Amino acid sequence: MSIKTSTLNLKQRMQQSLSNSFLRASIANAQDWINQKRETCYAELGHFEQWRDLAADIRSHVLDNLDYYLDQFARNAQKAGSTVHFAENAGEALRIASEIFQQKKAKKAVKSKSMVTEEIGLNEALEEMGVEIVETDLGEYLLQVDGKDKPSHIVVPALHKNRQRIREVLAEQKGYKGDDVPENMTRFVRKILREAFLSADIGITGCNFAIAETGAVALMTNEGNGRFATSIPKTHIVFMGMERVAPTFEELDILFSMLARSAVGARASVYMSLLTGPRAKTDADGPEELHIIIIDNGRSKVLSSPFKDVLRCIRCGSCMLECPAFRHVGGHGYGALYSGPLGAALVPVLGGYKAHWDITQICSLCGACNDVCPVRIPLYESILEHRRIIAEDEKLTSWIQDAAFSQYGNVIGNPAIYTAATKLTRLGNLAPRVGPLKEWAKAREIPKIPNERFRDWFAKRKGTDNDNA
Amino acid sequence: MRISFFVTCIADNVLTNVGIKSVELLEKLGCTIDFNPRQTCCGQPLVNAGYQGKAKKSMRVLIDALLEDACEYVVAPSGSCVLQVKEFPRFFKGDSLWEPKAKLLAGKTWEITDFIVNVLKITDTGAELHGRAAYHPSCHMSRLLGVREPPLQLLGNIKGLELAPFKGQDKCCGFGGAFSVEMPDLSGAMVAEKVRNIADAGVDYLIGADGACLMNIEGRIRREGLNIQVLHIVEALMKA
Amino acid sequence: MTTREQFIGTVRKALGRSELPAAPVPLAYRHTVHTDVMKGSDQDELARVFMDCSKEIGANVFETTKERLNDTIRQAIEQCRPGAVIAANDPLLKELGPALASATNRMVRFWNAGAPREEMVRFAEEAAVGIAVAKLALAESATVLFFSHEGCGRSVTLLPESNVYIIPKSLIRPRLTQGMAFVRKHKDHLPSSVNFVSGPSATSDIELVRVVGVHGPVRISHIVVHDM
Repeated sequence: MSIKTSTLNLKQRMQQSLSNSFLRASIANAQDWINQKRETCYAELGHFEQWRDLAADIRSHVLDNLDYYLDQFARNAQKAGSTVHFAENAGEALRIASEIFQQKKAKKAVKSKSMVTEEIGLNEALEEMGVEIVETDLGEYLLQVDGKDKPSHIVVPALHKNRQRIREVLAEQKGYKGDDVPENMTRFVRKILREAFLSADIGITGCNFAIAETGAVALMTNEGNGRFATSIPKTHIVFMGMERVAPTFEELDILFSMLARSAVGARASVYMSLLTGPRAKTDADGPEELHIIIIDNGRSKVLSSPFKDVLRCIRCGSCMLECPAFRHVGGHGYGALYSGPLGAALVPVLGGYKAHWDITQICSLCGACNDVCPVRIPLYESILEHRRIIAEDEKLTSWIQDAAFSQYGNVIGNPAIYTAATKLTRLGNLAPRVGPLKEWAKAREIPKIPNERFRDWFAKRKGTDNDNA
Repeated sequence: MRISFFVTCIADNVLTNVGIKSVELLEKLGCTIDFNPRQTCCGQPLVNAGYQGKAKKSMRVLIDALLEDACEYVVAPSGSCVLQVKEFPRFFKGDSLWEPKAKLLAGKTWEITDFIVNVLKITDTGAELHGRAAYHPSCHMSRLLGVREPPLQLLGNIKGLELAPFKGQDKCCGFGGAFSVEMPDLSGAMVAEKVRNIADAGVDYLIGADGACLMNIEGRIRREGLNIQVLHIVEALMKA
Repeated sequence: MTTREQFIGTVRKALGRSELPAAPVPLAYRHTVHTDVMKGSDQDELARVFMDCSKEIGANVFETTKERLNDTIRQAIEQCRPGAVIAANDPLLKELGPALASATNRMVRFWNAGAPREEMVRFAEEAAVGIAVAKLALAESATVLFFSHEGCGRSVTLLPESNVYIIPKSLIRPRLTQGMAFVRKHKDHLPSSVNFVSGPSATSDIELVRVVGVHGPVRISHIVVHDM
């Protein structure tokens, strides 16, 4: 996979998503349920706005000093015994990863979910080398088994699958003989993955935050697969987006406190793991080698752009859960690995305007995302500015649209023309339903234009007329 | 108190009763209304679609029209249009002629319920309307402009009116400007859910403070043939 | 192959700088909301919050004293499925060890970093219960902190089907703020694995239905020792 996840165009993706009623119902339920939990635990914590201030300050501070902190992290990680690698782009990251696999003669890897590994297409690349790579987050595992389906949400990736489908897939692919009760299916997967954990050569994870002060890697997980992948296989590889840094453990408190609540409405995730280097010589378990691959893949471009603040993101997914557009189209509708408001704000810069400008269309500019982002990313403002860049700088809008808006701009830019033109608006009542009127009328009735404008009523009342405006 | 009335293009040309009732309401509450017919549109459809440059001409037209009468307050019956005006200084940053003018206008422009409650200091307009009403808090007005309480205070004092909460009350209605015609199916899905939730609340009225949202919601209500009357808050506040 | 200098150089350029800065002034926190939580609470209150929250997140809670600890551990273990017990090689547990084995009629083995890796891991994997002593505990989220070290492998708190944690009351702190401060204080000699554990492993990945017990322990018991 890479950033682009679909070959369909915007209209086709909308069609596909909107016609999937199970998906829409699942996402609506997920939004309602998780949002309620999130609100409850923030109400319990109190002072949400102040906590957001702290988290936003921390992330901003890190980004403003990213060169320093990344350098500090790399040096300290190395001192702690980790091997630190640097990858400018996806291709380089994959090369480094495959070299490690070759060196270790590794045939099997277990992976704990990581967005950046999906961004670079790690699974596909390793499979081409003949490596068996097993996703171990339950949702990701189920997607992998079901024809390598793509995640529809970053925190609950298999949201679009119902239990019947999951039972079918497990029966067909893995010989599951039980019913479709989630607990029973989960127990079944536990047994399968247990064997995978115990026999894997390499454990792969992402990195929630890299602690600059000590070179530690901090992971936030719930199922235990992250802990397995980092305790049992002899080699552990961490893939890290370069912006995922925190200065010290103290900042990690704020960030993890917000992440657990914003992502799933929990006070803490079940496991918060701080991993400093490979195991000590005197430890019986833990990896013998710890590799950390720090990845740029366009992030430095974002850092130098007007959209630097979007890199504050801690991947909580709450913007997606709050978004009324995401509610109806899910992650797949956005056609990109990062979806929802985050995707609309990040992907045009990370993945390029030409390939992804349409992602900014999937937004009604309601601003709900701004209100929940734990690190105060100006998502609304970013999406708006992308639209300006797309229309005025990149010039990716259609000439028809440009002409229509130019026309509109000219009319409202000239009071005399506006006054004259709006006298004719009531003719719209007779207009054929083509163009915008047709689109409007798909879902709603068209308002009836009254015979008299407000200004005519006001002028009459006052005893003046408007034609001398 | 003299105020300069910014009618907004939707209330000028489509929901004209909103303009009319706004004027009557403000007069009832003791204001004298100046209306400068040289005003056109705040330009938000252009800006939201990315055509900031193409909107500048209309912004200058609006700035001049609303400042011409040198009233102390400029009042509009639309939170999104007022928000747009408050953004004008940003668009003219560095322009020694227009930035100060934009700042002057932005500083004295008020959304109508905000003006009534926080400037006129009135929360009871003496209105009477019997029935159950759902209130839709428009996104730009409540989240981005920050005007959340004034409409509720005013509605709470309408004699006989029961305000009913409904599921997804503060979710976007799906209008989003050009979004409603450029992403018609998604926008349609959003307004359909909103209207379903409103209908489930068993209300007689749907009241809002932004004409754009109301056109959208009312269009869907009529498409579904529901017996719910859609009112702009100024219309409700003028019921007796 | 990109070197550290090249990589950091790209970042530096993106930030508009011509050379790597000296250490930045550490961020000053605008608010104290994080340190204010349960500020005035005494150990008894913290313990109460810890135990209430433990129940909320699905852990079984026991209260005891040092004198009765052995018996309480026995009670907690008896609720778990039959099978061996793997215990952290902690002085407290070592003291109780032989008595525990006879009281529960189970094999009790201590984590031994000197034994072959595969053997220890396999034992932990097949064990019914893992027991470990908390380094620290956090009331707000019923979290228990573990440092892995030669006496307590990562596997002890991960592989067995059930886990029993001993939590001295004096080690309970308000929240993660104190937990991270503690870790930071020990930053110069942290073991390679430090884990904050909050309850049994769980997932909601299938239709958002919460399932307790995924890959990590299915069942967790918290034993709060009042006079420790």
